[in-house]
Amino acid sequence: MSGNEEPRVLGFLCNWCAYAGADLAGVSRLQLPANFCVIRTMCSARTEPLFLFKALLGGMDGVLVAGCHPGDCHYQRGNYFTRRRLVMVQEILKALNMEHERVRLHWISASECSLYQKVLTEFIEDLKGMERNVARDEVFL
Amino acid sequence: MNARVGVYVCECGNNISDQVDIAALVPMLEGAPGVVKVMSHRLLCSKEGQEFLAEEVRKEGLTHLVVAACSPRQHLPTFMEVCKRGGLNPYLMQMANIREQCAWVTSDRHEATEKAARMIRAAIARVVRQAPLPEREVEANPDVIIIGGGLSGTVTASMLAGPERRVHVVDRNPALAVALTSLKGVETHGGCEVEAVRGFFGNFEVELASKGSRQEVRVGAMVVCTGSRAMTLQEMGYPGSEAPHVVVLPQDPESLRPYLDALPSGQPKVMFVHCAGRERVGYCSGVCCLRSFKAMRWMAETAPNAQLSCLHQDICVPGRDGEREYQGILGIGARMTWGRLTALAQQGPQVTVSFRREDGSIGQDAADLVILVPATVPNHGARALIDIIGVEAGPAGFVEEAHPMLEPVSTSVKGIYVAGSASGPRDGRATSLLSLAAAAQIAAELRPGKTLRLEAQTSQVCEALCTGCRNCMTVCTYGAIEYDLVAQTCRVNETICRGCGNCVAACPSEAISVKGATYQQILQEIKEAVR
Ligand SMILES: Cc1cc2nc3c(=O)[nH]c(=O)nc-3n(C[C@H](O)[C@H](O)[C@H](O)COP(=O)(O)OP(=O)(O)OC[C@H]3O[C@@H](n4cnc5c(N)ncnc54)[C@H](O)[C@@H]3O)c2cc1C
Ligand code: SF4
Ligand code: SF4
Ligand code: SF4
Ligand code: FES
Repeated sequence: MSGNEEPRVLGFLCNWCAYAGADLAGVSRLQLPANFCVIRTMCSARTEPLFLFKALLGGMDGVLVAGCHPGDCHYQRGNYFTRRRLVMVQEILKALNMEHERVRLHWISASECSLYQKVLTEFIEDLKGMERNVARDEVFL
Repeated sequence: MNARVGVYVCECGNNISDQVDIAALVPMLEGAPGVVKVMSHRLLCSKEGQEFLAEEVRKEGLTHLVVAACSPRQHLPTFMEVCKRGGLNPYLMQMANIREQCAWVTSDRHEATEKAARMIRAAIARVVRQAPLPEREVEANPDVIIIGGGLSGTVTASMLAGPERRVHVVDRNPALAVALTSLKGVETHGGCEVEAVRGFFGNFEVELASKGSRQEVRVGAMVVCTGSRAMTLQEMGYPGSEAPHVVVLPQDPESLRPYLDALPSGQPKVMFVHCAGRERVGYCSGVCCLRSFKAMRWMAETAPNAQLSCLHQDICVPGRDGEREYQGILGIGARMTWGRLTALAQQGPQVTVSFRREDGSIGQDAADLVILVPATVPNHGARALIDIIGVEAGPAGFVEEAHPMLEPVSTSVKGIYVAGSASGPRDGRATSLLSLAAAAQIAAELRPGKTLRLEAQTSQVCEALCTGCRNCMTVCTYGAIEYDLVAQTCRVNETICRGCGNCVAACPSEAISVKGATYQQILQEIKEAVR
C-alpha cells in the first residue's frame, strides 16, 4: 500500500460457524486489526456478489467471506454455492483489472478462533503489499 | 411516521467500558438519522436492565431499537423478548456486537471506540429499514410414523404412544413383534413400505404401499428406525470365501449349531476373524469385537473341545464391560493373532486362512470352521428410502445425523428423526439410548395441542419482477420453492423455508428476498460499515 494508511477490510460471516468463531476470538481475547468490520448473515450463501463489489467500491481494500467448512453448513449445502459465486466474483475482478485477491473466502468453524485471527492478519498483510484499491476513490457506491 | 430510534449502549459491567470510551461514544452517535435517544447502561441483560429498556421503548415511543452490547448469538432472544414487553415488534431491533467483536479484540482504546461507533451506525442504518414481521404459527399433528419395527422402532413407539398421540409403525416385514402389536395407541402396518412423503414438520402426508394396496397416513413427525445389517460374504469379496466351512457370524450364535454338529471329533479348530469387510467399508463398526467375544464364550460352553482362536486387527471394546469380556476370552485360552485377512481356501477338511501381519509379511493358519465377524452396513433399500423421504445420507450410506454431537437424532429435514442403527453401527444399548432421545425430542418439539412456531425471516418472491427462471428453485436445498405453472413465476412455501438466503443470491432479477435481511437492509448496513 502506498502511504501509511492501514488497509480496511469488511467481513461477511455466517451466523453458525464463522461469526461464532469470531465471537470466540473475542472471548479468548485474541487481538485483531481495528480496521475490520463484520456483517452477520445467516448463511454465507446470503452474501450476494453485489455486496462484495459495493464494499470494494465503497472504500474497502479487501472483503473476507467466511462460512462453515464444506459439509458443515447449517443449511446443508449453502457454502458450496458461496464457493462458486466467489470464483465468479474473482473472475469479474480480473476482467476489471483489479486484484482478485481482494476478495477471499475461508472456512472457519465456531471453534477456530485462532484460524480466524490468522486469516485476517495475513489478509491485511497481503493487502499492505498491494497497490491501494483505486476503485475506492473513483466510483461512488 | 418518522422513525424514532433509541440507541442503548451496554457497558457490561466493565467488559465493554474498559476498552470502549462510553463517554466519548455517546455524543458520536447523537444526531445520526432518526436517532432520538442515546444512552448507556451498566448491565442491560440484568432483570433491572431489561425492565429499564422495555420501559424506555414505551416511554420514548421508540419505533426502532439498537442495542449495542454483546453478541446477538448470546442475547438476541433476550432483547427480542424485551421489545415485545415494550410493545415493539422484535424485528425492529438490531444488536451491535461491540463486546466480542470490538472491545475484546481491539487493543487500542481510541480505535475500539471508533470501531464501536462505526458498528452502531451500521446497525442504525439497517434498523430503520427493517419492517415488522409477524410471529407465525401452524397447527401441528402430534401423531408420529416410525419406519422399522425392530429394537429402535419398538422403544421409540412405546415411549411416544399415548391417549393424545397415535403412533404408526411401518415395517416391510409382515410379522411384527408382539411387543409392538400389543402396545396401546400403536397402529402397525406390517408388510408395508413408504412410497412417498409430502409436507413438512407438523403436517406430513406419508403414502404407504403393500402388495396390491395403498394407504395414506397423516402425521407430524417421522422416525427412521430401519436398522442396519451384516455385510455379506459376496460384499466382503475375500478370495475363497465360498468355502463350505466359512460362515458369517449371525446375530444369534444359536444359529451356528449345525456347523458345530458338523465339526470333526477330537479338538476341532474354530477361528473367529474380526474386521471382515472393514477395508471395503472404510470404517470400524465398533460393535463387532464384543459381539465376537460373546459368541466365543457361547462356543466355549457349547463345544468345550473346540480350540478357539481369533484373528484380529485392533481390539475395540469400549465401555464398562468390554475389558472384562476380553479378559474372559483370554481366560478360556483363545489364541489371539494380529493379522488382516487376505484370502481363504478350503483344503481338504480344513480352511486355510491367509493374512498379512503388521510388518507386512504373510502368515497362514488352518481351521475346521472359520467365522467371519462382519462389518455393519446400511440395511437393504436404505438408499431408496433416503431418497424418498429426502434426508441426507453420509458417505457410507447411513442416514446422516444433523450433527453427530449436538443433534444426534435429527436429520437434515426438520421433523424427520433417526434412531438406532439406521444412522450407523450401534449395539443394543446405543440403539435404545438414541431411541429414547428421539422420543424425548419429539415429545418436546411436537406437543399435542401446541402450535409450531415458524421462522419469521423467510424469503418471498415479488411476482412482478420474477422471470420464472427457477434459479432460486435449483439452489434451495429444502425444496421450499415451487413453480406456478399458470403465473410462470416462483413461490416460496414459507412453512418450509429456513431463511438462509441462498435463493436471494441466486436470483438474477432481485425478485426474491429474505424478510429481515433484504438487499436494501444489508446494503445500508454495509454503507455505514465501510464509511
Ligand atoms: C450379527 C449381529 C449381532 C448383534 N449382536 C448384538 C449383541 O450381542 N448385543 C447388542 O447389544 N447388539 C447386538 N447387535 C446389534 C443390535 O442388533 C442392534 O443394535 C439393534 O438391533 C438395532 O436396532 P434397530 O432398530 O436399529 O434395527 P433392527 O432391530 O434391525 O430393526 C430394523 C427394522 O426395520 C425394518 N426395515 C428395514 N428397512 C425397512 C424399510 N425400508 N421399510 C420398512 N421397514 C424396514 C426391518 O424389517 C426391521 O424390522 C447385533 C447386530 C448384528 C447385525
Ligand atoms: S447485555 Fe450483553 S453486553 Fe450487556 S451486560 Fe448483558 S452480557 Fe454484557
Ligand atoms: S431462503 Fe433458503 S430455505 Fe428459504 S427458499 Fe431461499 S434457499 Fe430455500
Ligand atoms: S431466481 Fe428470481 S427470477 Fe428466477 S424464478 Fe426465482 S425469484 Fe423468479
Ligand atoms: S451456515 Fe455457515 S456457510 Fe451456511
